[in-house]
Amino acid sequence: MTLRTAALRRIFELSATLLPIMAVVAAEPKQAFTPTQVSSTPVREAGLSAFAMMERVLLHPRCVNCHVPGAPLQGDFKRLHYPPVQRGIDGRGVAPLQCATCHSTKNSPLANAPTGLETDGKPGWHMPPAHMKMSWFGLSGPALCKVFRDPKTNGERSLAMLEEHMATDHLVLWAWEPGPGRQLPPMDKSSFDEQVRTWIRNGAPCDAQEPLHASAGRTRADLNADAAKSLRAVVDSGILTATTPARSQP
Amino acid sequence: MISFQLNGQSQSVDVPGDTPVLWVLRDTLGLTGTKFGCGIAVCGACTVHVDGQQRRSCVTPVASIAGQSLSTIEAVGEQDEVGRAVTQAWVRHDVVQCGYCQSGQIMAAVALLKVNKRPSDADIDQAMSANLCRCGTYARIHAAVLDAAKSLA
Repeated sequence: MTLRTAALRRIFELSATLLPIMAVVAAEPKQAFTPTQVSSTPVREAGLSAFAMMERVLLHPRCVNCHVPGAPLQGDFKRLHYPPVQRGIDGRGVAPLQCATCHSTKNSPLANAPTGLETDGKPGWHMPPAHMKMSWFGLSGPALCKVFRDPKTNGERSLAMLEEHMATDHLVLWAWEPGPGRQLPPMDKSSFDEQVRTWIRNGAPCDAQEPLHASAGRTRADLNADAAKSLRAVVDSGILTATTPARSQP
Repeated sequence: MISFQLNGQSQSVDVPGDTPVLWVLRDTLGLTGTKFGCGIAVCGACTVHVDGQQRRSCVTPVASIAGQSLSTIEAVGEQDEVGRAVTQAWVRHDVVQCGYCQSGQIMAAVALLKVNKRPSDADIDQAMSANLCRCGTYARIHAAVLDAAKSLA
């Protein structure tokens, strides 16, 4: 194997590892965030009570209409979505009917209009992607809690990442600014954030038996730093420049 | 000043960024083929294409299409073979009754046939379901989309 081949293989390996991370990092708002640490003396009952409060928000139509196993729902009564759009691979619909067909960059001032959301100046409305549906529909209590908490079903998020997502993601924030004619979640945003922090501080329990979490895990910033460090290591190794062949003169 | 490509030509407009594309087309640029229906992105009469994807122009702020390519009903029959096939099928099937929704219907049909050259009946029903017609020309719309697809085969 030549040095050049080895370098290219290394880049492909890094890309396979880093691109999903970088995609998630890019999708998250770039705000300062300090994760809640798990208490050294967690109180399970306090954590379970906090999740019971969180559950009221998670199962509210503002959230669960898109956290479904199939096509999205709509409205305050979780009705079938009109028009009958599909999730699509990336959660943005299937052409020619995509979320952005009707969901623009901001809420309409008129009632009954589709919602709007901006991501980098473009229409940003979407639901979870096909490979990670994050469906909460029909779940409650411990079952909902475990799906919400498990990285295999929550978008590969640690507790710290879940907290950041709940606290800062613009699609989550939209639930409290849904435009005219839509119900708000059953508690204000700051109260919801406090319940999330209480749940994590007390070990993020989902039931009365399982062991409590001892750590909130890694943050997006940690992953971002790791990705930058790995890329820097490749560049610093010189493997990329050393393999560039000298151009022959005609 | 907000700049974009309009039907293949460079276009700049001096309007507030939150002005809906529909108002820019109709009031600023005088292109009245795109219609105001419901004003809340539900009926589909205002459908245009942005970078080839259909959009409801009544709720699309013009700033959000800066630098992108906007296509309207005025040019759809001239731009490519799909647009020509759809407009010709529309004439053959005499689809139009009052006509108010039809520019949006044609834009939706073109968007469908650009991603699905051989749509099934169900594909057509689903793709066209977001465009309403108060005259009830749905059967003729459906037949014209099928016919356009056949002519493109």
